[in-house]
Amino acid sequence: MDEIGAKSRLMRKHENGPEPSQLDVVIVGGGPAGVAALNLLVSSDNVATITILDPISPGFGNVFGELCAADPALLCNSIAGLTWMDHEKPDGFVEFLLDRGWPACREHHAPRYLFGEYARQVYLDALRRASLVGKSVKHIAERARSITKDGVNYLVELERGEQLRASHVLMCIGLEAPKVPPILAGQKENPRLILSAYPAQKLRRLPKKSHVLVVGLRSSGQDAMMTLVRSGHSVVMTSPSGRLSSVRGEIRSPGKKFFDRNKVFALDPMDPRLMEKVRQIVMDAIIAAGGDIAPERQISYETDTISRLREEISIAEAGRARWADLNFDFVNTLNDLLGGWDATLRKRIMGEAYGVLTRFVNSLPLAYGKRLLNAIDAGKAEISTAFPATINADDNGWVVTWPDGRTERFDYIVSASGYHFPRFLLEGENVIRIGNEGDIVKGARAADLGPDLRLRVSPESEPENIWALGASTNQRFPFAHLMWLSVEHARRVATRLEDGNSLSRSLEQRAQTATENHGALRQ
Amino acid sequence: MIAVVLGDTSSSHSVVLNAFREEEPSCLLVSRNDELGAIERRAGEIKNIIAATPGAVAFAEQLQHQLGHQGNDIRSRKMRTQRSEQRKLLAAPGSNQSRLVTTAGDLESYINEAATPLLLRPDVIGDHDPIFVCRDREDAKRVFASLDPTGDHAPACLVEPFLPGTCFGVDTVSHDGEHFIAGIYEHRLDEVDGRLFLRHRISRSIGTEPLGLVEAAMTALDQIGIINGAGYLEIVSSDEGFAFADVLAAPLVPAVPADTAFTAFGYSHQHLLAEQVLRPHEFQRRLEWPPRRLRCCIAIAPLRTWTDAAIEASDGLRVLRRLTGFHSVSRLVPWGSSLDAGGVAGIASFVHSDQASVENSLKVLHEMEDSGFFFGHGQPFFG
Repeated sequence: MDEIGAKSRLMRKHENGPEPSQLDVVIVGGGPAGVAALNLLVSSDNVATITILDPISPGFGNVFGELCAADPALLCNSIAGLTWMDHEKPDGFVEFLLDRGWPACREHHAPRYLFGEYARQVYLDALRRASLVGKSVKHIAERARSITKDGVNYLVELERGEQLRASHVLMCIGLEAPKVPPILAGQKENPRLILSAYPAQKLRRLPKKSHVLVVGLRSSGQDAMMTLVRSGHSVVMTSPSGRLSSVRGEIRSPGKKFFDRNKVFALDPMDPRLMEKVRQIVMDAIIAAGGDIAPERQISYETDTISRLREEISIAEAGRARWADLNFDFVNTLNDLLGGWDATLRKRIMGEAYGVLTRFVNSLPLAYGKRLLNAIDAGKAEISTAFPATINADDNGWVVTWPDGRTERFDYIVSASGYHFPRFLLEGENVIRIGNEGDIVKGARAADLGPDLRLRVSPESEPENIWALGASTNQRFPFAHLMWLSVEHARRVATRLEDGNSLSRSLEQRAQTATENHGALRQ
Repeated sequence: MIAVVLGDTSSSHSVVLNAFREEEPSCLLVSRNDELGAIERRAGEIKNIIAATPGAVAFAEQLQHQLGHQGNDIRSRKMRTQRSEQRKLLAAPGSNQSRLVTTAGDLESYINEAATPLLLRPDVIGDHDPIFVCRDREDAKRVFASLDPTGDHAPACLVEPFLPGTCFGVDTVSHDGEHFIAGIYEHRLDEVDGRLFLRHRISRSIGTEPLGLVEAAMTALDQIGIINGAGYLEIVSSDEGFAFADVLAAPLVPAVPADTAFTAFGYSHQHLLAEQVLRPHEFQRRLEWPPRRLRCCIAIAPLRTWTDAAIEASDGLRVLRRLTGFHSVSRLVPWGSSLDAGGVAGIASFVHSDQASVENSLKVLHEMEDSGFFFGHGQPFFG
């Protein structure tokens, strides 16, 4: 029905003659965030041309495409019911799976490559709709290097030196540059240091029965462990914190609202009791989510990592980890709250809450928890709660010295510490270069990203017509990489580009209805 | 009656045979092991002789000659049956030269002056010829020795430098010296444990192939003497130019399944061959038109296992059949059959209007094969 509605709307516009279109939009990055934006902009009367810049085919992106997702054993970190590309179709991914014959449900985690296929399908559908209204959409298989102000327009410089003129630029850049922990920073050139867990084939090709240290315990580290163990290698996992995230089971009410936003937004960032109040709000929500399951029965209090993993798997399997139902609302609420605060406050709060956030918001899907425990019980993997004191290269691998003085040899090390988020670096007043968090550490100055998703030369400057979406907004929003947030960003940007136009009201109205429907669907 | 000749009883001869049988029920299936006398006794009934697979070309052309049928020129037969003879005509770019070796001494003298890595393969063209990758000289000597374990009779081998580049396969059908391009495919070839394996073929629309590839293929067909019937060219494209890995006077094994090809092109290589033989006037009309752009992308992938194993179950099929563009799986070996490492259990086919989706599906498929997951069992896909 949506499809027919969209078509008839487009037809009506066509019949009345095209309204003036003047915006030339360049979307930098063709992953899910870029495609979510394209999906809306093709229906916008104000947009004349859209150009997508991405060295790989739009839709798949790095996370859901060849780099990180070709192995079907790698699952999406969010459940299918919380993974969509179009705010009007919150069940779009589940329906895509059902249409292909998968026995899908909203509560399960689907293989990542399937989301890549779905995003590609959304891209192809958007191209088809653009062609129906005669809108120009072009994909250029290149990266953008920088954006230069040119009067009221922008010049987007491509890596090979070519320039594209744009009235608006949408930064939809995902995660690409792997982080390397400081203890390995001087070893980047060592061929026995593998700088990322992906693609999986890189790990599979290691000489048989290698002994491998995986640095990182979160999703990249878990993926690396699984690939290595399946290929017959032995693995030790470690990280500076030595702590695994909690295991979450089935999410029963993914879209339900648990947090009283009035109470949350009334929090004073300067209040010395801020964290205590936040904890109380979260605890109230856990109690509300848990019904008759008390919070202390929903999580493990074991101090030993493996014992805790084992107990949390039992809790999740028993359906008692009800705190997981809060995640969707919690992330949205926290993003909205912190997104309005200034950078210093955000940094302070995130620092204080880091442990709790990584434990619960970045929790392990039950399937991953079980794989990890199976590998540990089979003696193929272990988790070291200690972090190496030193790591030294020798001729055939690495010698790791643990804090207790013990040394251990490894054939290879996999650095699986996640990826740098994008940052937009200022070069003078007129040039914004595309970089990442690593550049900031090295002293580069980032452009300011406003709560309206627009870049500015400084917080006091006029906003540019350069917008950030998805992972590119991490500078302001702590949980920028979640799919539904990219879609929400796309909706906000598309609405703004239509500002004053009837379609704008229509978009807002549809978004509102879709959000309400989405909530209702999941009650 | 059409005599369809196959080179190897395990080859996918049936795709060619089936194409002919659809229109000519009385096809005679001939193996090169069959007695010539028995075939000669039916000479009066045989209207045409077709090589169904590359390994059948020598015997098919010999039969054509003896029974007085018009085919490719018998005098140039070696060009179509021996790689070393082809190389004399179709020299590789640069200074890299191939050499026919029949003794360890031949090999020794070649490898002392050649750059590594090297490729070593049988000189005589067969249906399932292995391609060995020799990383260094010792490797080359070891591989060559392994081909003659008793030391009695070393096989003739072609040895040549391993040229980096992109491999293309071009399917053709020729009629009176005019050539029709039935398909251009980009190939993925992987080296696994010292051998080169075809992982997939994915179509390229005319006009998207490297500039000059089609012309080079046409010229090579003329040089090799393919005047009528099916042809297949394997061409490595690099910055230095084109190098011919193989020019065959028969469809490649494994063949693209006919029904898959029809979905994408409206014809198959095998059916075009049948048309050229049975209804040449219709086939001739195709030669009058410029090549058509493809409506769809098509790909095939041999389903391989990398361990010596019995094929007892396949979790991978559940994924494969739901991949974007999946068309069909054919020639699966019976459950319980044993396959050597690198063996092919079946052919997966894909057809889709979006090439990037097909490429992505192939990547997922290869990941499953490479991780040993494809022929596993009990893997849950959703968690």
